[in-house]
Amino acid sequence: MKNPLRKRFKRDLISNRGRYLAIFAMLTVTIAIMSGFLAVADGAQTVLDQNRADAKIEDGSFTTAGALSSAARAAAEKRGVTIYQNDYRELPLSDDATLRIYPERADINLVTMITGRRPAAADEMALDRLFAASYGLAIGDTVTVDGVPLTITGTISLPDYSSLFKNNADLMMDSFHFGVGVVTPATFAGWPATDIVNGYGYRFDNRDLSITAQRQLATAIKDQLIASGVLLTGFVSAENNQSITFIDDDMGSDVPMMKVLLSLIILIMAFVFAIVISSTIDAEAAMIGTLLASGYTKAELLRHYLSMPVAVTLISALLGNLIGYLVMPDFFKVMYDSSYSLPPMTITVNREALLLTTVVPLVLMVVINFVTLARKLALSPLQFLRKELHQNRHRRAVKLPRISFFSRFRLRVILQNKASYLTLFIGIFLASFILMFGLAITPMISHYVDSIEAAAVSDYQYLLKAPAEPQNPGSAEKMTVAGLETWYPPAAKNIEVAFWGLREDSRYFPELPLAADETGVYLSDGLAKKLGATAGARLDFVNPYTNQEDTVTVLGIVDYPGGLTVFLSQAQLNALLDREADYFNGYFSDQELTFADRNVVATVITPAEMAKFGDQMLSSFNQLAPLCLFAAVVIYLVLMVVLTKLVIDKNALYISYLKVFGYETAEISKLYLRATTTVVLGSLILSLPLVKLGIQGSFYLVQLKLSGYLPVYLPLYLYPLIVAIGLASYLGINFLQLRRINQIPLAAALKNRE
Amino acid sequence: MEKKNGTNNETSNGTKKETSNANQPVFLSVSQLDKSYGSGAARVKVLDGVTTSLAAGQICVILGPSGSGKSTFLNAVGGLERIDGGRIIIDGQDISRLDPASLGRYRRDKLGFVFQFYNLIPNLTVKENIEVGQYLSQKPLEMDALLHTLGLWEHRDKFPNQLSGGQQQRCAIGRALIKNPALLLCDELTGALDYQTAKEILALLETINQTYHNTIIIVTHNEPIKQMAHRVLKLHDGRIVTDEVNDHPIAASELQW
Repeated sequence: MKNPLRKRFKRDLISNRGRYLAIFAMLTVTIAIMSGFLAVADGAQTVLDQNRADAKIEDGSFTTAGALSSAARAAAEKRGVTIYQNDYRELPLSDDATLRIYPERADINLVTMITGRRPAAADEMALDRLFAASYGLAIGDTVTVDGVPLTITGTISLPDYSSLFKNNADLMMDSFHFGVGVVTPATFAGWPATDIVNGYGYRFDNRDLSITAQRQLATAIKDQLIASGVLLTGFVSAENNQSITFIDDDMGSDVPMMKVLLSLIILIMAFVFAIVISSTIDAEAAMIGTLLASGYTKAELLRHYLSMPVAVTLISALLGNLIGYLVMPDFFKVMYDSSYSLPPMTITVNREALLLTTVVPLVLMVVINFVTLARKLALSPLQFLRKELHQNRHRRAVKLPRISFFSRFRLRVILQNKASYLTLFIGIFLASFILMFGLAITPMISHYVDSIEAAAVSDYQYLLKAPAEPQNPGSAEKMTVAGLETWYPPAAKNIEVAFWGLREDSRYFPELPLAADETGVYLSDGLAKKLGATAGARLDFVNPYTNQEDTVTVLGIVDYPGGLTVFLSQAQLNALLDREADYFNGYFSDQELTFADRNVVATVITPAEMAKFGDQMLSSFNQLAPLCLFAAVVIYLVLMVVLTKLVIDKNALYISYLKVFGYETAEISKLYLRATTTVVLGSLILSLPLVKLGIQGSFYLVQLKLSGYLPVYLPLYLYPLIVAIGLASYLGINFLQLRRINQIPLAAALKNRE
Repeated sequence: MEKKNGTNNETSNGTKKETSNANQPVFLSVSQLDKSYGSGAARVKVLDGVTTSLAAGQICVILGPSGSGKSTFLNAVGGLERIDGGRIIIDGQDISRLDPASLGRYRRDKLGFVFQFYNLIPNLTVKENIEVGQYLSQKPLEMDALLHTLGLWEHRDKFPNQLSGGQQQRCAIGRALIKNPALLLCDELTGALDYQTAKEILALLETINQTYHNTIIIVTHNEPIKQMAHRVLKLHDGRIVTDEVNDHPIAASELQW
């Protein structure tokens, strides 16, 4: 005979459908999001790995001033690599976009066609899919680069540009203002050689090298090139190339963060279930006592009470995974496709994701509820029959201050339901955190962009390939710029830092007390925060193109949000770089400069240019705010519905008594609902400092993968906004609970005499 | 301790009732049962050397004022209460030294409990509530026959909140009885019922005893109930002060109070 208690299951499900539906919906949505996200992340990783192998991605690349001699090439190749020509041209597509054009490469970094066909004629080009989409270009469109019209024949992805970083030191990729394309080798060869960048890619001959061996070999190659007298203008291993590995870093932090966040939600739901069960056991104590007295074992009762959370979790896992694999991938694919240039991915069932979305929720649910049940059922049958449900029944009541009867009553309600309210607080904190994250990201980026533009020291910054005088010097001020690297322990990698050598009497930095004979530097505040450096600290830097190492002393911190920058006197930097005292390679200027040879200009930076990355970041995160708002409101609603209803259900008999005594609904709601309202409002407000700390902690992790420093900025209006959204969610619940109080019959007090 | 033999073969209106089965072998035997609550100066002895025995198939009523130890005695016999000293032998098995799991098996195999409050499962029907007891037994009684005996056949598909107090108590008795337990323990089972319903329930117990020959112990405050019992124990301050054998119990329907 099957246990007749099983027949309660369906009826319990129906009679408490609101409660179970809310938990079920929350679990299903959470599992669907996790499953979909992990499936897409896995699909992206699989296609990325496969494409890197198929398209023979480089193991590193470098650029040189002048072509690489065959002797230097041979010497480097002897170390165990094959070097391939990887020249490119960088041309303006319009005022605010740059195209980097390669001849289609035959040996490494092979093209993957997404749509259309490869370029075949001299006036044809295939364009990166993401840039084409961001810039609004399609197959058949003609673009003019450097006066040459090129027709787009297809969209592509290149393995060395899965993330469109123009410069490796950029804070963020930028598919709106930077793209890559390929033309036929013949077309490329027909272009003027003067503005071609001498680029090279290399691949290790031994494909089975360990990471350490790869790093050592990359260093050995660079050393060999320097030793051979090659003037390197850039050298980056694939591992340190943001265009290649940013997606890995991004997924590397997004995936665990998503796992943790969603596991936390499941954990909270497991606690909610535990509270529900605990409350059910309290209500059914006499019945449980009778069953135990009749010979039912605790194991049988444990299985009985555990069956509901297990069933709800199992069904949620099943449905959540179905939705996760069938519906969610389209949503998450858009997130990847709008940020990265990847070949099309296929979604397959991922074993780890399946484990995380079925076994892990089930285990969390079973363990937490098992422990709760085991503790609750540890009482003897007599204790259940006598409803002596607390181990310490002689504990003294908490003494309350001399306040009004209503206030004291409410405090007693809060104390009686402290477990429910504590879970509610944790849930509200988590939801507020998600909400703050979603709502803050856009103003944070905008604020950063604004502060960069506001703090721009000059209208133009020119970086030159070689010293050159402008034809209209005007207010132009010479400077020396160098990109050196320093070790960044939290991310266990070198980060690039811009060294600005300034005139001692620089009119663009009048506050900076620079002196030629000074042997110290000033750090931009972002760099200081990132490295945790203060005045007096000594920092080690290495010139990546000469391997020369230097240690500098920090003299002070400068309020400059423009990037990770070190300020020092031009004389000092020139000495550091082993340059002549009068060497320079850049200008600050308040007007546009013209040079006799326009090719001498490597980069022109304007405040607007510096802020461009903001467009990409805003585009990447613009789906986050509504998603976070949805997730937070769902969490608010589900927890508030389930836990506040539990408080009313638990006290239904006493509410009925109060009605018998003559209390009116308004007065009863003052006692019971206002207690919950106080807790909700208190939780919303008290969780805000924790939310702020949480956001700061999360952004510390975000900073690890960014080359720059994005200060945490949480506008003040967000705090009341979050409280308002939480309260608005609660208002509806409050109305429902008021209705529930109205529905509690007077007869309950008269019938329930036990 | 006062020990008397019952003398009445007839009830007050002259109806006869079967005599007790006092010649049956001993089914329950307790000796020197001790139980105290609290410690130090607050220590209260609720059972103090209680010794008695019951034959199989007897109805035994235990009377006594509040705090006399009658419920504790019932719970000790039911394996719900650990005793401090003495022995309890039920159907040849000494249950006073059993571990909790063995006590659980003992209750499962041999006992039926009925309480003052019915403790029915609200979202199971009458029949399903009785099935809760049926599940525990290898050889349960026949369900339909029991439902008829209990007068619940018409109500078998109703939920507890659709029943009167008496019907709910019948259901609780059915749940205890369907296991066909050798020992049925009833703690104030008529305490929450009106006069007429209480008598109906007691009559039902009487029928059950005659039909299924279970040993039944009824703990009650209600003295007149003793007239339907084969044995009457009176407890006071944890001791048996009266142990009566009633050879001529009257029918429950004739009880008056």
